[in-house]
Amino acid sequence: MKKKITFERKRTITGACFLLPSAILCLIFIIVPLVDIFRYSVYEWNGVGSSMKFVGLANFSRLPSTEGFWEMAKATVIYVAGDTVLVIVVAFLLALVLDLRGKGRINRSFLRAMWFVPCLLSGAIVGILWRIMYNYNNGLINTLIGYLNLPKVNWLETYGVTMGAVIVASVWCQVGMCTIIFLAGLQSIPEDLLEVAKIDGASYFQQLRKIIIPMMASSVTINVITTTIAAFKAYELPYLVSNGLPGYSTRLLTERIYFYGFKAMDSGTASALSVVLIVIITLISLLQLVVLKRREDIY
Amino acid sequence: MKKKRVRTFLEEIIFLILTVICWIPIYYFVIGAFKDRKDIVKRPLEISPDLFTVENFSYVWKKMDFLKTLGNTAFITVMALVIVIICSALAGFAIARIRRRVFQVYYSLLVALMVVPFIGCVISLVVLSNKMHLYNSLWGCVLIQAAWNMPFAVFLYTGFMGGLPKELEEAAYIDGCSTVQVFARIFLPLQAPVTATCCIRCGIGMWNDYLVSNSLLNSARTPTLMVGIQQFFGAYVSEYGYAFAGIILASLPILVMFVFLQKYFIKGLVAGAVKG
Amino acid sequence: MKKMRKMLALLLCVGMILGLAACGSKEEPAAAPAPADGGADQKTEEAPAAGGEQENVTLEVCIVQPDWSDEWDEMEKKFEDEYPWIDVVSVGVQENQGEFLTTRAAANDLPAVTQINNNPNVWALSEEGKILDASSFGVSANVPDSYKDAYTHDGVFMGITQGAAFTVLFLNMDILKQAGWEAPPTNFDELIKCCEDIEAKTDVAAITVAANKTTNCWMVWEGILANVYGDELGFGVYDEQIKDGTFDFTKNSKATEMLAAIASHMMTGTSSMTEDDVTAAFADGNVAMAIAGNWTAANICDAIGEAAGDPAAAAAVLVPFNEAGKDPWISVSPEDAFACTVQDDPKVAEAAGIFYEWVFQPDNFKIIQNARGTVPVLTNMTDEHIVLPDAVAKIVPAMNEAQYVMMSFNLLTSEFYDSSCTALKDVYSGNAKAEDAVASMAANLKESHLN
Repeated sequence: MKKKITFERKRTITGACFLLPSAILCLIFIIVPLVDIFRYSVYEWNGVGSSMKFVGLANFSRLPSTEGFWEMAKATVIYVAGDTVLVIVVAFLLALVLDLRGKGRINRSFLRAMWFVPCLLSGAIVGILWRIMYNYNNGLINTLIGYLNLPKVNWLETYGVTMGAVIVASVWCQVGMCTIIFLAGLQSIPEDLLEVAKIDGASYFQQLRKIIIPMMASSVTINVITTTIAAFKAYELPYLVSNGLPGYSTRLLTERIYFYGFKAMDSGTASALSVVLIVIITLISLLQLVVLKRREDIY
Repeated sequence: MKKKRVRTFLEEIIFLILTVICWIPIYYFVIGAFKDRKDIVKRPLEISPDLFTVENFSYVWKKMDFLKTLGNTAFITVMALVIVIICSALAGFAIARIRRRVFQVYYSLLVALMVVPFIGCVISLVVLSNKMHLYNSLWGCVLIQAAWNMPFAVFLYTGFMGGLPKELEEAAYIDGCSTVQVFARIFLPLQAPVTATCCIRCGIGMWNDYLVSNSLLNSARTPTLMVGIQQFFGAYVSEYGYAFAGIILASLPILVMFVFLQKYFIKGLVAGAVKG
Repeated sequence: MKKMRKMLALLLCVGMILGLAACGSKEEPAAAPAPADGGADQKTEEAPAAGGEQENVTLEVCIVQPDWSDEWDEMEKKFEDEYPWIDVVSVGVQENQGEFLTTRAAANDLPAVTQINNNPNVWALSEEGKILDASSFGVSANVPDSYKDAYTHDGVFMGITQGAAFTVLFLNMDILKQAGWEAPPTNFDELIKCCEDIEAKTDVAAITVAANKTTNCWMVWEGILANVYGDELGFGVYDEQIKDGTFDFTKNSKATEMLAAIASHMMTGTSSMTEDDVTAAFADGNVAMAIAGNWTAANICDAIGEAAGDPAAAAAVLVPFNEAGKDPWISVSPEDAFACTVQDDPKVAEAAGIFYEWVFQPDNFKIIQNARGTVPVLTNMTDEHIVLPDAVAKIVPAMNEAQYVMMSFNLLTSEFYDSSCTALKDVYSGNAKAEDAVASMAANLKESHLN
């Protein structure tokens, strides 16, 4: 009995040592700046100077009344929701098609790789690329529309349309990654389970509803949460595509953090906004986690 | 049965069309990189020998000092990946196989760090790295990249380690192996798939990073590839061809890495992450 | 045995920490300033011969405008040929100047010479005492006082400007002729009539502006304001009122009407167009006129010449926002300036001083000057140094004669011009009415002065 205890204790110590390197790195390079954000958020500070003035919660309280704040908040919500939903739905359908398990004539692993290639490009690159393509006068998309003799679309300065354009660009470069995670989920479903269902005469949609979707619950959870977080944190890509136009309709809160931090030289407000964003992302991710985990448990 | 074949066929056709649409932007910029601006605008999708030019590439190559920036980017990415892989494999093992309540709490905290937006931390990180004498050094970038990719990597490794059968280690412990030995002899050799996954997921982010290297490696005109190509994206530069050639040069190496690793990539995900 | 295991675990972990610490403390030579582009390598070898006992110095210079980076390389080479012991490294060649300087300042590592703009980022640096007063340099004697004043913040003369920036109407006369106009419009009514004719008789868009860039977006509106209020308020008053926040944008509805009139003729896509897009629109023959900064003259005139097949088709006039019978008012501002930062290392400071004096010698300065086609402000530059594009050269006398207001967007907070330009862009794209935009600007001006 005694031997057992010491053995377990030793394992604990070894485990703690194993955790140490990652803990040190994260402590220095994530936690410390994170604490700094919280600290700066109650000061008035221009980011370069030595004078910091304590202002309490003034940085927070002025946020809602700053010009365009609520429009930007709305844009962020629409962007995050639209991006997440579209990525998940498209990636799921793609994964289903790609996982026809050897049926059909096309080389699926090659196609899979093709869908993944956009994910290799950086946000800035994708943003610039789509911006060039959306150009009203000489962009590729309007040129193609012109070949079909349809009227040109003003992609970058029409309320509503522009947000769609931004979301399409970011879905384009995210969908491959989610597809692969879904594919992984699909391939971990035991083959015989589907065989049995088929023999029982279940149609494809019945299989989908009763077996495939429930078995994929955990990959749905991962994809939803990571995509949401990424969308909340996105900043280069949406900004480069549309520059936040028209009005504030595609300007995201992350862009605002950048604006306060580097253009308006107001690190206090930038940090306050970061804090708000962190709190919102955390709450939403927790909510998603609880809801999705509960669904996983039901299945 | 016939009906079914028709449906599969239809599905494939639709799927192929979608794939083609997905690839139009890539085709457009790859072709465009070999054309003049005028031809990119007027004849965007055409391939023809008389449009062909490699001038974009030679200009971009020289302007962004390609070999030096490539070297810096590769150094940062590879070093950061090595650190991330070592640290998160250790952490993943401890969390998933040495089950302790404290470790679980640590895991939750670490994963929660994924929500922190980097953009808010830039100034603070610059001040910090200046104090630690990491400013203007590639190692500063390496450590910051490693740290910011750690939460996701630990998440991956924990999921993967947790998915391995319990019998694996039991026999070894009975034989009197220590925890370290179990980790090194039994678990480490099994990590290839999840390591490939980690390399691709984190490697893409590190390779494509702009903010970290732009804020920390200020002393060179073109410290890394992503900073280097920014000069072709500006409002002043009227050559799409340069931008496209820059994109190709900057993204080709990561594409090559993907081609080599993609076989393992999906395996790693099947085996681990989706169970997280 | 047990002890051994424990030791092993501990050792492993200590080793790791040490490894990390070692990583951290090691200075990385690869990131240290390396010669940027060709030309610099040979210099180091000649150094001992030419520089005598001088030690080599590395001088960091930050330029923000990639559009003349090729000429910049030429200039850098010329300087290094003359001063072989100074190795010039250009850093931060990009547009995100704010971000660049802010992070460098946070690291207390500003480049020795940097381009600056008249904006809050730079004022903050100056207030921190990080920018050297440029009046200590001999070359500052060649700068007219008005330009010195414009770049003086809290008594510190921050830097010598590259040139005068003002607004120009660029025209593709080839297209105007098709619309029945042999000469450029000379007043606002003619301008609108001209736009209407172009739209009716050709399939080309009438007018555009690179609204994506804050300066360009604002200067259209400012040009209108200068002409509407200039005569009424007199010289210098508009600028003062804007600065105090007492200016009322809504006072004269004529300005609003003019804004609405010109916005209705703007090319689709104007609100998101960069300067590059404007040049491209000219080159592709998609637009007949553009209100643009004189600093883009070289690019735009080339583009018009390319589209028309005849370089003479490019024309430029001061923006005719004036009433018939009056001369146009223009809004002028100094362009980006060069500043020296305060350096701890005396050798670097000395090199920076040498460089600074060197750059503003007419023979050297003309390289970038003429590449950009801007109008120089240095009094010691003569006609033989200045080679402007024909179209611009023709309007320089008119520009020097014209009455002007100082471009006000440098006087206000970032929040103000961000929200104002957002409102203006909505007008340019036809998404909002001019009245609403003007009302919101008026409110914002008050707001920004309340804080």
